[in-house]
Amino acid sequence: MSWNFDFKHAKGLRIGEPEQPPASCSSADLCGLPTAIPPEDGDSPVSRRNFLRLLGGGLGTAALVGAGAEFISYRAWAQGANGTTGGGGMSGKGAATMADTKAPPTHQWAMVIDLRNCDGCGSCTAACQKAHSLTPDQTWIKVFAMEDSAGNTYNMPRPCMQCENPPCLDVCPVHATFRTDQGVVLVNQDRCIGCRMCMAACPYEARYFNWNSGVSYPRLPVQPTPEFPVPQREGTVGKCTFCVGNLNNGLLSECASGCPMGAIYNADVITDVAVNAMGETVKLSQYLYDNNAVTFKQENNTHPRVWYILGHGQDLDTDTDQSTSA
Amino acid sequence: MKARVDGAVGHGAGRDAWNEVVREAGLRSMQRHGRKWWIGVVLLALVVLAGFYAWIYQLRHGMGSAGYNDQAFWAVYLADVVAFIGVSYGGAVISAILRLTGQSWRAPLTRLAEGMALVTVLIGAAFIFPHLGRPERFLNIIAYPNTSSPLVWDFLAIGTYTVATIIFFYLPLIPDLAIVNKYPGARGSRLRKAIFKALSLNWLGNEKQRKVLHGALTIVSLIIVPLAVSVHSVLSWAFALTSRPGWSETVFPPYFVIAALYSGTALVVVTASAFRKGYHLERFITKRHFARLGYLMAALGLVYLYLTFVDLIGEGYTGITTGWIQQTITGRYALAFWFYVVAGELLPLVLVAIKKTRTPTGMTVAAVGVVIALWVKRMVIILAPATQPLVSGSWGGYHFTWVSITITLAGVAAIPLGLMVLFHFVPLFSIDEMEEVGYLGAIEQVSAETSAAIASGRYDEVPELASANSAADVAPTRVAGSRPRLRRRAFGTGTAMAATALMAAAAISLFGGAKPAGASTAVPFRLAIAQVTPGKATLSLVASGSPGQKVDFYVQSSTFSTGGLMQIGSASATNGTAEITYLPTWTGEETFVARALGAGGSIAGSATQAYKVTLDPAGLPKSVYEYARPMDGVGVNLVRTLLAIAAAVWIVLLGTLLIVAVRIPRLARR
Repeated sequence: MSWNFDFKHAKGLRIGEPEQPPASCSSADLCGLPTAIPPEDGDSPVSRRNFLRLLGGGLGTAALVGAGAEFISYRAWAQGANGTTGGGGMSGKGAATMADTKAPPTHQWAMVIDLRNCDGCGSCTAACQKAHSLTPDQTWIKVFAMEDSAGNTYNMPRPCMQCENPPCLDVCPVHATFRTDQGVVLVNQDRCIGCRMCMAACPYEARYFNWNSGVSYPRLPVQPTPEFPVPQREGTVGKCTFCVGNLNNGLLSECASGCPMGAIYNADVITDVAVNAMGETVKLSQYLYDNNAVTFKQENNTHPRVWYILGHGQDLDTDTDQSTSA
Repeated sequence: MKARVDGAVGHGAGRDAWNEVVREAGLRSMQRHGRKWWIGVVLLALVVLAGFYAWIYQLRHGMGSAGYNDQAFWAVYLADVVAFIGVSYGGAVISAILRLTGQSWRAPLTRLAEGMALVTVLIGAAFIFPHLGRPERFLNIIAYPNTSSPLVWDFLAIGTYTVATIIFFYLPLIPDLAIVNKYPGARGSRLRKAIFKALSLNWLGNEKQRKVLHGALTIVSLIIVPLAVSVHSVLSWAFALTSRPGWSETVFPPYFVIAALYSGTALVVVTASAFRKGYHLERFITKRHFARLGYLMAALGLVYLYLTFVDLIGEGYTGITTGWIQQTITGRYALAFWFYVVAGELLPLVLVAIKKTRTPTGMTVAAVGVVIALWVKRMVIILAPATQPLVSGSWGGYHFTWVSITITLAGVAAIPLGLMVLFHFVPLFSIDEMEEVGYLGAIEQVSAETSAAIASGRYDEVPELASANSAADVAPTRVAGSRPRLRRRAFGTGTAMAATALMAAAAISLFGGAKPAGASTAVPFRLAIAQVTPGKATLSLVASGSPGQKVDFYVQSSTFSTGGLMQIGSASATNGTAEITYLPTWTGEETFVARALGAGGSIAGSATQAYKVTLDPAGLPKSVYEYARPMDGVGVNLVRTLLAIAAAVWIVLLGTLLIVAVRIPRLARR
């Protein structure tokens, strides 16, 4: 098995060949707005391929004008999707009705990891473990040493992908894993029975069990919550929470603020913004398009909310290998 | 032995003599126990107690003490669950199929097989508790069930199967309970007699009662076969419904079902061998029984070998995800895997093939090999895909600790202990069946074993005896199981983008920065924002600028406090203005900035303008990106169908029991 990124080889991924706009498309119409996208006939699924085509190709029709037109529909969906994604709240039952009455969320959290800027220092892991009182084994964000198909190496931080179609959520027998209306997948450690089915289902190895007691935790004045599960409960599964408490208070996640290279951006799909520790602020959809951003293991149909910009640290001038630019 | 079935066997006296022999032998396990029995029970009980101690230790010190880690997150306890429930299936199905096909040679084996099925399913279910990180929350599966999880269905299937096994054990026991109470040689306290009397439902053994019981047994036998298939299919889907290479295999459900049958047949052989030896049942459980079970075992073993090959060849050939295959065949799990091939396949096949070793001893050796090898195989099936790296990096590994070894050994010891205790209370084989069908089988046996002269007068009375090749009858029944079909719902087009942007009066912006050198004719740098087209949430940002000048447009991001200006567009000025259109996606007041760039990218002019965006979220377009959920569409109906089937099974099982409990006593009164 080759453990390299298969992004480029994924079916239908069209990096670098943007599609031509339809002839009838004028800038005022904002080509390819969702209203203009006919549903593919019948049950023809709208696959990642279309998504990527939309994200990648369709956006390129006119420089910045209209860029993000496809993405906006995506965000609009995300905005109204809290009921349809299952487990929109703590209880799966009634989530749909809740969604009907509840105001749409104001944020849909996401992340962009710019591998061109990652030097593999592991600061993100350390910051995360410190903030969440984790054991050294519990690498909620873990920097993997990867090898691409050309044999070049690069570093890849892997947080929880916060999938829009999370396999871990489906297999949890007790609804302990749920997805918030902000698009964050969390674990209710007061309900988890510790069967570890989610660990089997996660294609990213993003879940970590609390195997041993006897870990000393700081005493905190508050009880652990799914948003801030500190200390971890023994015998249950834990994972990256996107530091959603930080995000909702306008702060960056621990890994993003702990990254000295600014490789990790916290992002919001609704307001279409991504910010890193340097304060660099980019328009999410545009940034993803401009840099041919990809998601990891798209063949698994998980639809991650974490995008990668491929690279091997070349923006840091630390790159000594002769790899081809992503 | 008091009476022998010899030349004097006839339908009157011979049958009575036979019945006496059967009763004496069947009740041997209920007599006063010898010293060996007590030593055995005490030793086994100590092992089981040690297992409980180890479990308490594990509860106190966490599951890490059992050797688990984040890569070997599933290991020994799940292998135990699969293995124990698997052997249970073998026992139940062999008994059920031999019953349904009317094999008269089954008579001395069914009780042992059913008892083994009952004991092992309870032990297997109990292994779920050390497997869980939070066993005390086990009932959350009932309180908050997620029907899209295979584990919920596991719970339902195992629960149903356990109830069916108990009923399947109880029904053939009814006549024996009556016999035991009437038998003068049977010991027992008054309490036991009272319980037996109540449970025996006034059994007299008349034709009508037999008819009812036979019908009920047929129904339960018919149900327990597909039920057990479903249990092992659902167990396998706990693995196969993940995306993990090596688990996500279509072959898994039949793979698990056959493994269960194979190991279960083997454990029937071991159980029969042990009780045959322990209670001197050589007369009843003969060489021929072992040979027949051996054939069955060999056939199942070949099917399992075939399925193992099927499992490995697909991915192994294409080479897509071969890490787990390499580790299985040549890597860290190779020793275990090849142990399975040798001890679990080659050895039993050879022992069955050679006539000299097709003896009770030979078959017992083969069966022990199969039971152990199949447990090892389960470990390989679980560990190789579990410990593979899915992203990058190195393989994980599982290391046994005294905790997991002790708990597993406790489960192993609990099988003989459970059987010994169980047969302290019930006869070793179904006396009633032995008296009926066993009689015919015994004549054949005795005849063959004594002399042709004795046999000569009897064989024409004997109907078709146990000559059918039973292996062919035990072909596994497959339950059509399909994964929930994923469907995507296509959205209708034309969800209009009805948005209301306020028409704002152009506000005057301010100047900033130094004026470009020598720009005496510079116009004031301004930014104006307006709605482009009525009905669309499109903002037009117009900034002044000298021809050819590049103007960047920004919005001040307020999502993150550390966020700064977010570039939303860039345009070159023509005719004194630069213009972009922008799609705001949120509601509220935002600050827009335009910057005119001078030579070398320096900022020649800057303008800031606040603008309140109002959008109606309901009017926003629906996306075409909709992800199929397992419960959507087909999934809901699948769940309903499965629940309906489960309910029907429960109704039939409990209804059958109810009918037996009501009708048999009533028929005794007439």
